[in-house]
Amino acid sequence: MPPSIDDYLTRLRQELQRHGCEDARLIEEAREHLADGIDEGLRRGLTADEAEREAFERFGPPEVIARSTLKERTGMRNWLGAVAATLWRWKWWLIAPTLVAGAASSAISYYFLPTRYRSETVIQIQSPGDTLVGAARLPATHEQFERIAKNALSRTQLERLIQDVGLYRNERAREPLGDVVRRMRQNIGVEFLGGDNDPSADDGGTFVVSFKSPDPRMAMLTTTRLAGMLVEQNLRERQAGFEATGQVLEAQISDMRQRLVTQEAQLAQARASGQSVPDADALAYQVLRDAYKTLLVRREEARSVEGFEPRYSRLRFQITEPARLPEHPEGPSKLGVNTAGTLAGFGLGLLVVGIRGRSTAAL
Amino acid sequence: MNAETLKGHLDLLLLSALQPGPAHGYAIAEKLRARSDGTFDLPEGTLYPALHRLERASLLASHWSEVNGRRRRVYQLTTTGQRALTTRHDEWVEFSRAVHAVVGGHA
Repeated sequence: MPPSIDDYLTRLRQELQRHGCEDARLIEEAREHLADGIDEGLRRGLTADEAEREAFERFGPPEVIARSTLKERTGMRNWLGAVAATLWRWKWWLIAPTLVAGAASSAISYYFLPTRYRSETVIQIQSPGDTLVGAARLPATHEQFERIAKNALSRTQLERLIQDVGLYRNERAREPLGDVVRRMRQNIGVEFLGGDNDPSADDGGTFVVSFKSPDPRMAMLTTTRLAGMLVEQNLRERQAGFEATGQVLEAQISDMRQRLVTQEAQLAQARASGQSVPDADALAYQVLRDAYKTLLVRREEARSVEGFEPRYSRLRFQITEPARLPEHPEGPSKLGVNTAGTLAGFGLGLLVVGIRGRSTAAL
Repeated sequence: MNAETLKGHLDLLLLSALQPGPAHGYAIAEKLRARSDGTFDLPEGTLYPALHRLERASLLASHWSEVNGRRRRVYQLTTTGQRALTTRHDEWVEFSRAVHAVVGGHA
Protein backbone atom coordinates (compact mmCIF):
# COMPACT_ATOMS: atom_id res chain seq x y z
CA MET A 1 0.00 0.00 0.00
CA PRO A 2 1.79 3.25 -1.14
CA PRO A 3 1.58 6.36 0.99
CA SER A 4 -1.11 8.88 0.13
CA ILE A 5 -0.26 12.21 -1.47
CA ASP A 6 -0.79 13.91 1.89
CA ASP A 7 1.59 11.46 3.61
CA TYR A 8 4.18 12.10 0.92
CA LEU A 9 3.79 15.86 1.18
CA THR A 10 4.08 15.70 4.97
CA ARG A 11 7.39 13.92 4.60
CA LEU A 12 8.52 16.40 1.98
CA ARG A 13 7.60 19.32 4.26
CA GLN A 14 9.52 17.72 7.13
CA GLU A 15 12.57 17.19 4.96
CA LEU A 16 12.45 20.78 3.74
CA GLN A 17 12.21 21.99 7.32
CA ARG A 18 15.08 19.77 8.34
CA HIS A 19 17.20 21.29 5.59
CA GLY A 20 16.12 24.79 6.58
CA CYS A 21 14.38 25.55 3.31
CA GLU A 22 10.65 25.46 3.83
CA ASP A 23 8.77 26.25 0.65
CA ALA A 24 4.97 26.32 0.63
CA ARG A 25 4.87 26.93 -3.10
CA LEU A 26 6.97 23.86 -3.76
CA ILE A 27 4.56 21.78 -1.66
CA GLU A 28 1.60 23.07 -3.67
CA GLU A 29 3.31 22.37 -6.96
CA ALA A 30 4.30 18.91 -5.75
CA ARG A 31 0.66 18.16 -4.88
CA GLU A 32 -0.50 19.07 -8.38
CA HIS A 33 2.40 17.25 -10.00
CA LEU A 34 1.68 14.04 -8.12
CA ALA A 35 -2.02 14.27 -8.90
CA ASP A 36 -1.18 14.68 -12.60
CA GLY A 37 1.17 11.71 -12.45
CA ILE A 38 -1.42 9.45 -10.80
CA ASP A 39 -4.09 10.48 -13.32
CA GLU A 40 -1.74 9.72 -16.15
CA GLY A 41 -0.93 6.28 -14.72
CA LEU A 42 -4.59 5.48 -14.32
CA ARG A 43 -5.18 6.46 -17.96
CA ARG A 44 -2.52 3.95 -18.97
CA GLY A 45 -4.44 1.23 -17.16
CA LEU A 46 -2.45 1.03 -13.93
CA THR A 47 -4.20 0.31 -10.70
CA ALA A 48 -4.51 3.10 -8.19
CA ASP A 49 -1.68 1.66 -6.08
CA GLU A 50 0.57 1.21 -9.09
CA ALA A 51 -0.19 4.70 -10.38
CA GLU A 52 0.59 6.29 -7.00
CA ARG A 53 3.76 4.27 -6.55
CA GLU A 54 4.97 5.28 -10.02
CA ALA A 55 4.13 8.95 -9.43
CA PHE A 56 6.06 9.02 -6.15
CA GLU A 57 9.06 7.22 -7.70
CA ARG A 58 9.17 9.62 -10.60
CA PHE A 59 8.87 12.66 -8.36
CA GLY A 60 11.73 11.38 -6.25
CA PRO A 61 12.37 10.78 -2.54
CA PRO A 62 11.54 13.77 -0.32
CA GLU A 63 15.09 13.93 1.05
CA VAL A 64 16.52 14.16 -2.47
CA ILE A 65 14.20 17.02 -3.35
CA ALA A 66 15.00 18.79 -0.08
CA ARG A 67 18.73 18.46 -0.76
CA SER A 68 18.23 19.74 -4.27
CA THR A 69 16.26 22.74 -2.96
CA LEU A 70 18.97 23.51 -0.43
CA LYS A 71 21.65 23.25 -3.09
CA GLU A 72 19.85 25.61 -5.45
CA ARG A 73 19.36 28.14 -2.69
CA THR A 74 22.90 27.88 -1.43
CA GLY A 75 23.98 28.59 -4.97
CA MET A 76 21.93 31.77 -4.88
CA ARG A 77 23.42 32.79 -1.57
CA ASN A 78 26.81 32.64 -3.16
CA TRP A 79 25.73 35.14 -5.75
CA LEU A 80 28.45 37.54 -4.65
CA GLY A 81 31.02 35.08 -5.88
CA ALA A 82 29.10 34.70 -9.11
CA VAL A 83 28.91 38.47 -9.51
CA ALA A 84 32.64 38.78 -8.94
CA ALA A 85 33.29 36.10 -11.53
CA THR A 86 31.01 37.85 -14.00
CA LEU A 87 32.70 41.19 -13.44
CA TRP A 88 36.08 39.60 -14.01
CA ARG A 89 34.91 37.87 -17.13
CA TRP A 90 33.59 41.10 -18.62
CA LYS A 91 36.16 43.36 -17.03
CA TRP A 92 36.98 45.23 -20.26
CA TRP A 93 33.34 46.12 -20.68
CA LEU A 94 33.68 47.75 -17.27
CA ILE A 95 37.09 49.35 -17.69
CA ALA A 96 36.57 50.76 -21.19
CA PRO A 97 33.47 52.91 -20.50
CA THR A 98 35.00 54.05 -17.21
CA LEU A 99 38.12 55.27 -18.95
CA VAL A 100 36.23 56.81 -21.87
CA ALA A 101 33.75 58.63 -19.61
CA GLY A 102 36.55 59.84 -17.35
CA ALA A 103 38.50 61.20 -20.32
CA ALA A 104 35.38 62.76 -21.84
CA SER A 105 34.39 64.50 -18.60
CA SER A 106 37.94 65.83 -18.25
CA ALA A 107 37.82 67.25 -21.77
CA ILE A 108 34.37 68.74 -21.24
CA SER A 109 35.30 70.34 -17.95
CA TYR A 110 38.48 71.77 -19.49
CA TYR A 111 36.90 73.24 -22.62
CA PHE A 112 33.34 74.01 -21.61
CA LEU A 113 33.46 74.63 -17.86
CA PRO A 114 36.01 77.37 -17.29
CA THR A 115 37.18 78.00 -13.76
CA ARG A 116 35.32 80.82 -12.06
CA TYR A 117 36.58 83.17 -9.39
CA ARG A 118 34.26 85.03 -7.06
CA SER A 119 35.10 88.28 -5.33
CA GLU A 120 32.79 89.91 -2.82
CA THR A 121 32.49 93.00 -0.73
CA VAL A 122 30.42 93.58 2.39
CA ILE A 123 28.55 96.84 2.88
CA GLN A 124 27.01 97.89 6.15
CA ILE A 125 23.69 99.73 6.06
CA GLN A 126 22.99 102.21 8.81
CA SER A 127 19.39 103.24 9.28
CA PRO A 128 18.45 106.03 11.75
CA GLY A 129 15.37 104.12 12.79
CA ASP A 130 13.09 107.16 12.42
CA THR A 131 11.03 106.12 9.45
CA LEU A 132 8.38 108.85 9.52
CA VAL A 133 8.13 111.74 7.09
CA GLY A 134 5.24 113.88 8.14
CA ALA A 135 2.37 111.44 8.43
CA ALA A 136 3.86 108.93 5.92
CA ARG A 137 5.94 105.88 6.83
CA LEU A 138 9.14 105.23 4.93
CA PRO A 139 9.66 101.79 3.34
CA ALA A 140 11.57 99.22 5.43
CA THR A 141 15.33 99.10 5.03
CA HIS A 142 15.29 96.05 2.79
CA GLU A 143 12.67 97.63 0.55
CA GLN A 144 14.71 100.79 0.24
CA PHE A 145 17.78 98.69 -0.46
CA GLU A 146 16.04 96.68 -3.18
CA ARG A 147 14.93 99.85 -4.91
CA ILE A 148 18.43 101.28 -4.73
CA ALA A 149 19.98 98.05 -6.06
CA LYS A 150 17.48 97.89 -8.91
CA ASN A 151 18.23 101.44 -9.97
CA ALA A 152 21.98 101.07 -9.51
CA LEU A 153 22.18 97.89 -11.57
CA SER A 154 19.95 99.02 -14.39
CA ARG A 155 20.73 97.91 -17.90
CA THR A 156 22.16 101.31 -18.81
CA GLN A 157 24.48 101.32 -15.82
CA LEU A 158 25.69 97.80 -16.50
CA GLU A 159 26.28 98.49 -20.18
CA ARG A 160 28.47 101.40 -19.16
CA LEU A 161 30.33 99.23 -16.66
CA ILE A 162 30.89 96.48 -19.23
CA GLN A 163 32.46 98.94 -21.63
CA ASP A 164 34.46 100.78 -18.98
CA VAL A 165 35.99 97.68 -17.48
CA GLY A 166 36.24 95.70 -20.72
CA LEU A 167 34.13 92.77 -19.63
CA TYR A 168 32.98 90.02 -21.99
CA ARG A 169 35.05 91.08 -24.98
CA ASN A 170 34.51 87.84 -26.86
CA GLU A 171 30.82 87.73 -26.08
CA ARG A 172 30.32 91.32 -27.14
CA ALA A 173 31.85 90.48 -30.51
CA ARG A 174 29.16 87.93 -31.27
CA GLU A 175 26.15 88.83 -29.11
CA PRO A 176 23.95 91.92 -28.73
CA LEU A 177 24.83 94.01 -25.69
CA GLY A 178 21.46 93.18 -24.13
CA ASP A 179 22.38 89.50 -24.09
CA VAL A 180 25.75 90.29 -22.58
CA VAL A 181 24.02 92.28 -19.82
CA ARG A 182 21.79 89.29 -19.11
CA ARG A 183 24.87 87.09 -18.95
CA MET A 184 26.48 89.55 -16.55
CA ARG A 185 23.44 89.62 -14.28
CA GLN A 186 23.81 85.86 -13.84
CA ASN A 187 27.28 86.45 -12.43
CA ILE A 188 26.30 89.30 -10.11
CA GLY A 189 25.22 88.51 -6.59
CA VAL A 190 23.55 91.09 -4.35
CA GLU A 191 22.35 89.58 -1.11
CA PHE A 192 20.73 91.51 1.71
CA LEU A 193 21.53 89.86 5.03
CA GLY A 194 19.29 91.90 7.34
CA GLY A 195 20.26 93.31 10.72
CA ASP A 196 22.26 91.69 13.47
CA ASN A 197 19.58 92.35 16.03
CA ASP A 198 15.84 92.11 16.00
CA PRO A 199 14.75 92.18 12.34
CA SER A 200 11.51 93.91 13.26
CA ALA A 201 13.51 96.81 14.66
CA ASP A 202 14.60 97.68 11.10
CA ASP A 203 17.93 98.97 12.36
CA GLY A 204 19.85 98.46 9.12
CA GLY A 205 21.85 95.39 8.18
CA THR A 206 24.52 94.29 5.75
CA PHE A 207 24.58 93.17 2.17
CA VAL A 208 27.11 91.33 0.10
CA VAL A 209 27.91 92.26 -3.47
CA SER A 210 29.78 89.67 -5.52
CA PHE A 211 30.84 88.99 -9.06
CA LYS A 212 32.07 85.82 -10.75
CA SER A 213 34.56 85.82 -13.58
CA PRO A 214 37.12 83.48 -15.14
CA ASP A 215 39.68 86.21 -14.38
CA PRO A 216 40.26 86.79 -10.64
CA ARG A 217 41.44 90.37 -11.18
CA MET A 218 38.36 91.14 -13.24
CA ALA A 219 36.18 89.62 -10.52
CA MET A 220 37.72 91.94 -7.91
CA LEU A 221 37.64 95.04 -10.12
CA THR A 222 34.03 94.54 -11.17
CA THR A 223 32.91 93.85 -7.60
CA THR A 224 34.52 97.08 -6.47
CA ARG A 225 32.77 98.99 -9.25
CA LEU A 226 29.43 97.40 -8.47
CA ALA A 227 29.72 98.33 -4.81
CA GLY A 228 30.62 101.87 -5.83
CA MET A 229 27.55 102.05 -8.07
CA LEU A 230 25.33 101.03 -5.17
CA VAL A 231 26.89 103.57 -2.82
CA GLU A 232 26.58 106.35 -5.42
CA GLN A 233 22.99 105.46 -6.16
CA ASN A 234 22.19 105.67 -2.46
CA LEU A 235 23.80 109.08 -2.23
CA ARG A 236 21.75 110.28 -5.19
CA GLU A 237 18.58 109.02 -3.57
CA ARG A 238 19.49 110.62 -0.25
CA GLN A 239 19.94 113.97 -2.00
CA ALA A 240 16.70 113.53 -3.89
CA GLY A 241 15.03 112.66 -0.61
CA PHE A 242 16.38 115.77 1.01
CA GLU A 243 15.03 117.93 -1.76
CA ALA A 244 11.70 116.15 -1.63
CA THR A 245 11.55 116.65 2.13
CA GLY A 246 12.23 120.36 1.75
CA GLN A 247 9.42 120.65 -0.75
CA VAL A 248 7.01 118.85 1.54
CA LEU A 249 7.92 121.09 4.47
CA GLU A 250 7.49 124.21 2.41
CA ALA A 251 4.08 123.07 1.24
CA GLN A 252 3.01 122.24 4.79
CA ILE A 253 4.23 125.61 6.12
CA SER A 254 2.44 127.49 3.34
CA ASP A 255 -0.79 125.64 4.01
CA MET A 256 -0.51 126.14 7.75
CA ARG A 257 0.25 129.83 7.33
CA GLN A 258 -2.78 130.29 5.16
CA ARG A 259 -5.01 128.66 7.75
CA LEU A 260 -3.42 130.70 10.56
CA VAL A 261 -3.97 134.01 8.71
CA THR A 262 -7.60 133.13 8.07
CA GLN A 263 -8.14 132.21 11.71
CA GLU A 264 -6.50 135.40 12.93
CA ALA A 265 -8.69 137.48 10.61
CA GLN A 266 -11.81 135.82 11.96
CA LEU A 267 -10.76 136.40 15.57
CA ALA A 268 -9.87 140.08 14.87
CA GLN A 269 -13.21 140.62 13.20
CA ALA A 270 -15.02 139.13 16.17
CA ARG A 271 -13.15 141.30 18.64
CA ALA A 272 -13.76 144.46 16.53
CA SER A 273 -17.49 143.88 16.56
CA GLY A 274 -17.43 143.48 20.36
CA GLN A 275 -18.34 139.84 20.29
CA SER A 276 -16.76 137.44 22.78
CA VAL A 277 -14.49 134.74 21.26
CA PRO A 278 -15.55 131.21 22.23
CA ASP A 279 -12.89 129.23 24.14
CA ALA A 280 -13.03 126.51 21.50
CA ASP A 281 -12.02 128.94 18.73
CA ALA A 282 -9.28 130.38 20.90
CA LEU A 283 -7.94 126.90 21.63
CA ALA A 284 -8.01 125.91 17.96
CA TYR A 285 -6.10 129.04 17.11
CA GLN A 286 -3.50 128.24 19.78
CA VAL A 287 -3.02 124.69 18.47
CA LEU A 288 -2.62 126.01 14.94
CA ARG A 289 0.05 128.43 16.14
CA ASP A 290 1.98 125.69 17.90
CA ALA A 291 1.89 123.43 14.86
CA TYR A 292 3.06 126.25 12.62
CA LYS A 293 5.88 127.00 15.01
CA THR A 294 6.97 123.37 15.00
CA LEU A 295 7.12 123.33 11.22
CA LEU A 296 9.22 126.47 11.17
CA VAL A 297 11.65 124.89 13.64
CA ARG A 298 11.95 121.73 11.50
CA ARG A 299 12.69 123.77 8.41
CA GLU A 300 15.44 125.63 10.25
CA GLU A 301 16.90 122.34 11.44
CA ALA A 302 16.88 120.95 7.92
CA ARG A 303 18.68 124.04 6.64
CA SER A 304 21.40 123.88 9.27
CA VAL A 305 24.48 121.81 8.44
CA GLU A 306 24.32 119.77 11.66
CA GLY A 307 20.68 119.01 11.22
CA PHE A 308 20.98 118.00 7.58
CA GLU A 309 19.20 114.70 7.32
CA PRO A 310 17.08 113.79 4.37
CA ARG A 311 13.75 112.37 5.46
CA TYR A 312 13.10 110.22 2.42
CA SER A 313 16.00 107.85 1.89
CA ARG A 314 17.95 107.85 5.11
CA LEU A 315 20.20 104.84 4.64
CA ARG A 316 23.92 105.23 4.96
CA PHE A 317 26.16 102.72 3.20
CA GLN A 318 29.59 101.91 4.54
CA ILE A 319 31.95 99.43 2.92
CA THR A 320 33.24 97.26 5.75
CA GLU A 321 35.02 94.60 3.69
CA PRO A 322 36.45 95.76 0.35
CA ALA A 323 36.67 93.34 -2.56
CA ARG A 324 39.74 91.14 -2.53
CA LEU A 325 41.61 89.26 -5.20
CA PRO A 326 40.21 85.71 -4.97
CA GLU A 327 42.97 83.17 -4.40
CA HIS A 328 40.98 80.03 -5.11
CA PRO A 329 38.44 79.34 -7.83
CA GLU A 330 34.88 79.06 -6.65
CA GLY A 331 34.04 76.37 -9.16
CA PRO A 332 33.13 74.33 -10.97
CA SER A 333 34.94 71.58 -9.13
CA LYS A 334 36.80 69.84 -11.93
CA LEU A 335 37.61 67.00 -9.58
CA GLY A 336 33.92 66.65 -8.89
CA VAL A 337 33.00 66.76 -12.57
CA ASN A 338 35.67 64.23 -13.48
CA THR A 339 34.69 61.94 -10.63
CA ALA A 340 31.02 62.14 -11.59
CA GLY A 341 31.87 61.39 -15.22
CA THR A 342 34.06 58.47 -14.29
CA LEU A 343 31.42 57.06 -11.96
CA ALA A 344 28.81 57.46 -14.69
CA GLY A 345 31.04 55.47 -17.04
CA PHE A 346 31.57 52.83 -14.39
CA GLY A 347 27.81 52.66 -13.82
CA LEU A 348 27.22 52.26 -17.54
CA GLY A 349 29.82 49.50 -17.63
CA LEU A 350 28.13 47.77 -14.70
CA LEU A 351 24.81 47.96 -16.50
CA VAL A 352 26.25 46.44 -19.66
CA VAL A 353 28.06 43.73 -17.72
CA GLY A 354 24.91 43.05 -15.73
CA ILE A 355 22.83 42.60 -18.87
CA ARG A 356 25.40 40.43 -20.57
CA GLY A 357 26.14 38.48 -17.42
CA ARG A 358 22.48 37.72 -16.77
CA SER A 359 22.04 36.56 -20.32
CA THR A 360 24.96 34.23 -20.35
CA ALA A 361 26.19 33.34 -16.91
CA ALA A 362 25.11 30.13 -15.26
CA LEU A 363 23.05 31.50 -12.40
CA MET B 1 22.46 9.28 -17.93
CA ASN B 2 24.47 10.28 -14.86
CA ALA B 3 22.35 12.72 -12.84
CA GLU B 4 25.27 15.09 -12.20
CA THR B 5 26.05 15.25 -15.92
CA LEU B 6 22.45 16.06 -16.61
CA LYS B 7 22.32 18.77 -13.94
CA GLY B 8 25.17 20.56 -15.67
CA HIS B 9 22.81 21.20 -18.56
CA LEU B 10 19.59 21.50 -16.65
CA ASP B 11 19.15 25.22 -17.21
CA LEU B 12 19.49 24.85 -20.97
CA LEU B 13 17.07 21.90 -20.96
CA LEU B 14 14.46 23.78 -18.93
CA LEU B 15 14.75 26.94 -21.01
CA SER B 16 14.50 24.87 -24.21
CA ALA B 17 11.43 23.04 -22.93
CA LEU B 18 9.71 26.39 -22.42
CA GLN B 19 10.71 27.86 -25.76
CA PRO B 20 7.55 26.74 -27.59
CA GLY B 21 5.36 28.35 -24.97
CA PRO B 22 4.29 28.46 -21.31
CA ALA B 23 3.98 25.15 -19.48
CA HIS B 24 3.49 23.86 -15.94
CA GLY B 25 5.98 21.68 -14.09
CA TYR B 26 4.46 18.33 -14.94
CA ALA B 27 4.28 19.18 -18.65
CA ILE B 28 7.92 20.29 -18.59
CA ALA B 29 8.97 17.00 -16.99
CA GLU B 30 6.94 15.04 -19.55
CA LYS B 31 8.50 17.00 -22.38
CA LEU B 32 12.04 16.35 -21.16
CA ARG B 33 11.40 12.66 -20.77
CA ALA B 34 9.60 12.31 -24.11
CA ARG B 35 12.10 14.34 -26.15
CA SER B 36 15.08 12.46 -24.67
CA ASP B 37 13.33 9.16 -25.18
CA GLY B 38 13.63 8.49 -21.48
CA THR B 39 17.32 9.36 -21.25
CA PHE B 40 16.71 12.40 -19.06
CA ASP B 41 15.14 10.72 -16.11
CA LEU B 42 15.82 13.06 -13.21
CA PRO B 43 13.64 12.92 -10.10
CA GLU B 44 10.89 15.22 -11.31
CA GLY B 45 10.64 16.94 -7.95
CA THR B 46 14.14 18.37 -8.41
CA LEU B 47 12.96 20.37 -11.43
CA TYR B 48 10.98 22.73 -9.21
CA PRO B 49 13.90 24.18 -7.19
CA ALA B 50 15.68 24.71 -10.51
CA LEU B 51 12.62 26.43 -11.99
CA HIS B 52 12.38 28.63 -8.90
CA ARG B 53 16.03 29.57 -9.23
CA LEU B 54 15.65 30.50 -12.89
CA GLU B 55 12.66 32.60 -11.94
CA ARG B 56 14.65 34.41 -9.24
CA ALA B 57 17.23 35.10 -11.92
CA SER B 58 14.48 36.68 -14.06
CA LEU B 59 14.95 34.15 -16.83
CA LEU B 60 11.47 32.78 -16.17
CA ALA B 61 8.19 34.20 -14.98
CA SER B 62 5.35 32.23 -13.48
CA HIS B 63 1.78 32.56 -12.33
CA TRP B 64 -0.97 30.36 -10.95
CA SER B 65 -3.52 29.28 -13.51
CA GLU B 66 -6.67 27.20 -13.04
CA VAL B 67 -7.46 24.62 -15.72
CA ASN B 68 -10.34 22.16 -15.37
CA GLY B 69 -10.57 22.91 -11.68
CA ARG B 70 -6.85 22.25 -11.09
CA ARG B 71 -4.44 24.97 -9.97
CA ARG B 72 -1.17 24.88 -11.84
CA ARG B 73 1.89 27.05 -11.69
CA VAL B 74 2.61 28.00 -15.28
CA TYR B 75 6.14 29.01 -16.29
CA GLN B 76 7.23 31.01 -19.31
CA LEU B 77 10.41 32.50 -20.70
CA THR B 78 11.10 36.16 -20.10
CA THR B 79 12.89 38.30 -22.66
CA THR B 80 16.06 37.85 -20.64
CA GLY B 81 15.45 34.12 -20.56
CA GLN B 82 14.97 34.06 -24.32
CA ARG B 83 18.32 35.78 -24.81
CA ALA B 84 19.99 33.45 -22.32
CA LEU B 85 18.57 30.45 -24.17
CA THR B 86 19.95 31.69 -27.49
CA THR B 87 23.39 32.26 -26.02
CA ARG B 88 23.54 28.95 -24.19
CA HIS B 89 22.22 27.08 -27.19
CA ASP B 90 25.00 28.53 -29.36
CA GLU B 91 27.57 27.64 -26.72
CA TRP B 92 26.20 24.13 -26.50
CA VAL B 93 26.30 23.61 -30.26
CA GLU B 94 29.88 24.78 -30.37
CA PHE B 95 30.82 22.66 -27.39
CA SER B 96 29.15 19.49 -28.67
CA ARG B 97 30.70 19.93 -32.11
CA ALA B 98 34.13 20.24 -30.54
CA VAL B 99 33.57 17.24 -28.29
CA HIS B 100 32.31 15.22 -31.20
CA ALA B 101 35.31 16.20 -33.27
CA VAL B 102 37.61 14.94 -30.55
CA VAL B 103 35.88 11.80 -29.38
CA GLY B 104 33.73 11.05 -32.41
CA GLY B 105 36.35 8.80 -34.02
CA HIS B 106 36.36 6.49 -31.02
CA ALA B 107 32.61 6.10 -30.89
